[in-house]
Formats: sequence, C-alpha cells, structure tokens
Amino acid sequence: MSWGGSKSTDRILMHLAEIGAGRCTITDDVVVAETDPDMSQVLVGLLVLHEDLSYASRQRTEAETAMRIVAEERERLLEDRRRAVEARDQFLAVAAHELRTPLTTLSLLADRLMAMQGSIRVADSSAAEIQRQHLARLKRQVERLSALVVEMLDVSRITRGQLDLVPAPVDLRDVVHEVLDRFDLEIMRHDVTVKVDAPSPVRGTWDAAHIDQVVTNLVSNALKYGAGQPIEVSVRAETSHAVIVVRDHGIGIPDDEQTKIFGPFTRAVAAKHHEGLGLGLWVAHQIVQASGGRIKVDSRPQKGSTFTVELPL
Amino acid sequence: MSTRVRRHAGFSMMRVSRGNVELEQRAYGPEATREECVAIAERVSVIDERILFLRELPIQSPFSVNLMFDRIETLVGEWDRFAYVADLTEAKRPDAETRATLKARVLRISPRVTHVAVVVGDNLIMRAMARLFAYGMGLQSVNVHATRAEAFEEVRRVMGR
Amino acid sequence: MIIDDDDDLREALVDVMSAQGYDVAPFADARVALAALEEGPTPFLILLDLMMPGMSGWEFRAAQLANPKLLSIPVVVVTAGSMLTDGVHTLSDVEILRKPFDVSTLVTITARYAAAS
Repeated sequence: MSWGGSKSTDRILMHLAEIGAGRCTITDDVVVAETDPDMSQVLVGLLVLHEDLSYASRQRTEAETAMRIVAEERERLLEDRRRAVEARDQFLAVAAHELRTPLTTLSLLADRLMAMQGSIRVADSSAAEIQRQHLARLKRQVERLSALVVEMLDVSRITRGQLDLVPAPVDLRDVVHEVLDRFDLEIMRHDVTVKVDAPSPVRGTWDAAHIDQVVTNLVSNALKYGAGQPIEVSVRAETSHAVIVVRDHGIGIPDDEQTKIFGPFTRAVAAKHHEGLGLGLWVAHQIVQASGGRIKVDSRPQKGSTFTVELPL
Repeated sequence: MSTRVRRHAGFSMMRVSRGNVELEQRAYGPEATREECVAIAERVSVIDERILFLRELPIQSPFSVNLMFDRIETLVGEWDRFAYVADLTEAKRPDAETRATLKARVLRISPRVTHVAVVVGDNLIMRAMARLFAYGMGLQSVNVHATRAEAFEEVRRVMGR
Repeated sequence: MIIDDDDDLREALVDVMSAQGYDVAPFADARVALAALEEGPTPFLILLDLMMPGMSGWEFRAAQLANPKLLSIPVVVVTAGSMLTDGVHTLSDVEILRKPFDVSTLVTITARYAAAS
C-alpha cells in the first residue's frame, strides 16, 4: 500500500473500520502517548464515536429486553386469563351436570304428589286447596330451575365447542308436539291460544333433543313477549328444507336490535322483567347453525315477531 | 474586569457556609450529601450581566451535569440570550452516558445561548472534546481557548460589555 | 326394569311407573340386574342409568348385547350427559332420555315400548 494516502490517513481509516465493526483499539493511554497533536485529537474523536455507538447499542438492547419482558408478562396474563375462563367453563359444565339428577328427582316427586293429592286425606278443603297450590308452585319452581340448568349446560358446552349433535331419523311434528305438551301448563297460565299447523309428516335426520331445545326456546320467547296474543307454530317440508315457524303478535323487536338478538348476552327488553339467562336465542342459533340450518327473525315493534328455522333435509 | 453580580427575580441560592466541602475526584450520584450538591452547583456563577462561568468537575456524571444545568437555568431565569464560559482545565473526559445527559441539557438551553467560550489550557484531549462538543451540541457559536483571560475577553466582546 | 344407583331417583321412577300400572323391577347394581335378567322374566323395557359404580351403564349394555338371550330387550338410557361413549364402550341403538325430563315425556316413551311389546 504505497500509492496515495499518508500513514495518518491509513491509521484513521483502520480505526474507522474497527468502529464500524463494533470494536476500537484506541484507549486513553494511546491518545496520551500520541505525539502528533492533530492525530491525538482525531483519535479522541474516534474513541468518543465508538463509545457513543456502543452506548446507543446498549440502550437499544436494554429497551428491547424491557419490551420482551413486557410482552412475556402480557402473554402470561393472557394465558392465566384463558385458563381461568376454561376453569370457569369446566366448573359450570360440571355444576350443571350434577344439578340434573336432583332436579329430575324433584320433578318426578312433585308430579307424583300432585297426582296423589286426590287420595290424601286433609283436615279441610281449604287446607287441601292450599296444598294443591303449594304443589303447583313447587312444580313450577322445579321447572324453572331445570330450564336454567339446561340453558347453563348448553351454553357452557357451546362455549367450549362441544355441541355434539346426535342425528337420528325424526319427524319434526313429534318434536313440536312434545314441546307444546310440556308448555301446556304455562300456556294455560298465560291464557294464550296456540295454533299448530302441521298437516303432514316432516321427516329428516336431526338431533331431536337439540331441535327440541330450539323450539322450546322459541316458544318460551313467544309466551314471554307475546303479550297474551295468539301464537302460531307451523312445521312443513319444502324441497330442500324443513321449515319451523314460531309466530307471536306481541311486543316485537326494534329494527336495530334484530341483528343482535342472536348474539350472546343481549336482550332487547329490560332483564328484570323476564326470566332465564337471556341466551335462549343464542343457543338456538348455535344449534341450528351446527345442524346445517338457518334461523331468522322478522319483527316489528308492537306487531309481533316471526322466527323461522330452516333445517336441511 | 468588573465583577458586579446582579440579583435577579426568582434567584434562589442555598446559603451554606462556604469552603467547608472538599469535592473529591469521583463521580457523584444521588447519594451525594446536601453540602456536596451545593458545592457542585456553586461551581456555576454569574460573572457579569448575562454571562455565566462554569468550572467543570474533574470527574463528571449525569447527576453532576443535571445539578449544574439546573443551576444554570435558575441563574439565567427569563434571559432570552446569554453566554457562558466553561472551564475544562481540571476535567477528565466524560463517559458516554454523561455525554448523553450533557447533550440533552445543552439542547434545552441552546436556543438562548449566544456564545460559549471553552477553556482547555494545554489539554489536547479536552480541546478535541470541546470541538466535538461544539459540533454535536446544537450550539451556534463556540470557541476554544487556552486561558480564562482570553475566554472572558471574548465573551464580553460578544455580549457587548 | 330400572337400573340406577341413585336411591331417591330410582324410588321416584318406581313410583311413577307403578302409578302407570306397570310391574317394576328396580336394581341399584347393574351386575345384580344382569343376573336377574338371566334367571327371571324379560322386561319390556330397561331404564338404564350410565354413571354407576361397579358396573357402569356402558358396561351393562355391552354385557347385554353379548348375551343372545338379552340383546333384544329395548333400553332407554337416562342420563345427565349426552355421552354415547365412555371411551371404551359406545352405546348404539338406544333412545336417550336426558335429565332433567318431564314425567309426561317419560310416561309417553314408556307407553310406546309397552305397546310395542
């Protein structure tokens, strides 16, 4: 290396190259030992440059580490939350599951008591009447509890993605009739007329118990929000679909709520006036979707609501 | 050399009996005593109208830099322009962290600084530091001098004294 | 025949079925029930609980299906869950009555099997 450039320049270039590579062989001693005043000042400048670059690099590493720690902490919190939610859902599932047997027993016993009432000797007729009323209330409370438990279990199963449908050959008319039979007492209590339009069989392969749940939820809503007006339930088969329609002429649903009512935890009416977890339509929606069908609503405030369920044949 | 010191509004100074504290050759940090902090801050003084004088510590630290610049800001108050003389003859080369703090504090006051005169004696290393300082700190006008006398003269001339 | 280890529920079911006019043979233990089926008369329906200690409902059904004398007896599984399989056995060809159920539902289903026999 003999053409162009002085030894000083080469030396400076060497140090610059070092610094670019993140190293520096210049020390304070080297600077002090340097005899050329210009060179000593340049060396100081190069050393300071290297120090500033190293410092900046250290700062950046520290910032990155801090950010990584924050990210890890956040991950941990999210994981904790996920596990807590899962534990909660598990608990709900187990709780709901365990509640079912005692509820069944209660329900059967209440029914038996009511049936036996006629043959029980009581002090006087007013006591007998009171007893009859108590039993009726008992039965009602058991039904209410049962409905809540079923809803709770369905919800927890759905949120855990475990809605396992068991399709089997079924006639939807049977399902509808069974549901309405169960609502007999409540229909009488609401003093409501329920018209059923199901002239011919509607046979297909679906999970009867879950479709039952869907129809139950729709009928329950029709009774709750039907304002005592007649309710119409129809079942028919079309070319590719079976269609179940539940129609009431009650308070209806405002336009802006109609898209939301199938979502979880929404209720278009104040919660305290009506029972249940408010998830009936959401559960119904999940079941119908999982069955390959569609559910939709057509409603106008004060005019009533028409819920249509389509299931593939 | 007239050394009339003017008092200014908002001028607060802790009065501790002077000359008691010997500052050592070490980097000072938050553990410093009140007396030590005052001693450090008092290395900054007003030597004429809108002219400050700063005697840098042998070993500087981010803590000492902040102390001294807090003091500068207190002394200059509302002045929209001022100059200062920085005496680096006792000073050793500051480390990267101190330099970063120094840069931040200088940038804060630089819009109001008309001129800085740096005294380095015959210390070539500090002369180089002063030049780097001049280029890297966002100051409009910096000069390096061998003696205090030269520095004071220049600063007075610049400030029209 | 009713096979359920929950005493209260089993007794309530016995009461309901008796009131309907059926002869009821209740068992708390599925193994005892199996032995009784071997010896005695054939019921027109077995109401079977799944979660039982000793021999579970799944195991009972597997044993029933392995016995040519018993395999054609209809079974309605009464359960809180919907698990057709316990991981080892899978239930096939049984009607499922999910708890909680209504008396009327139980009565309707039972009547259907009684009529068919």
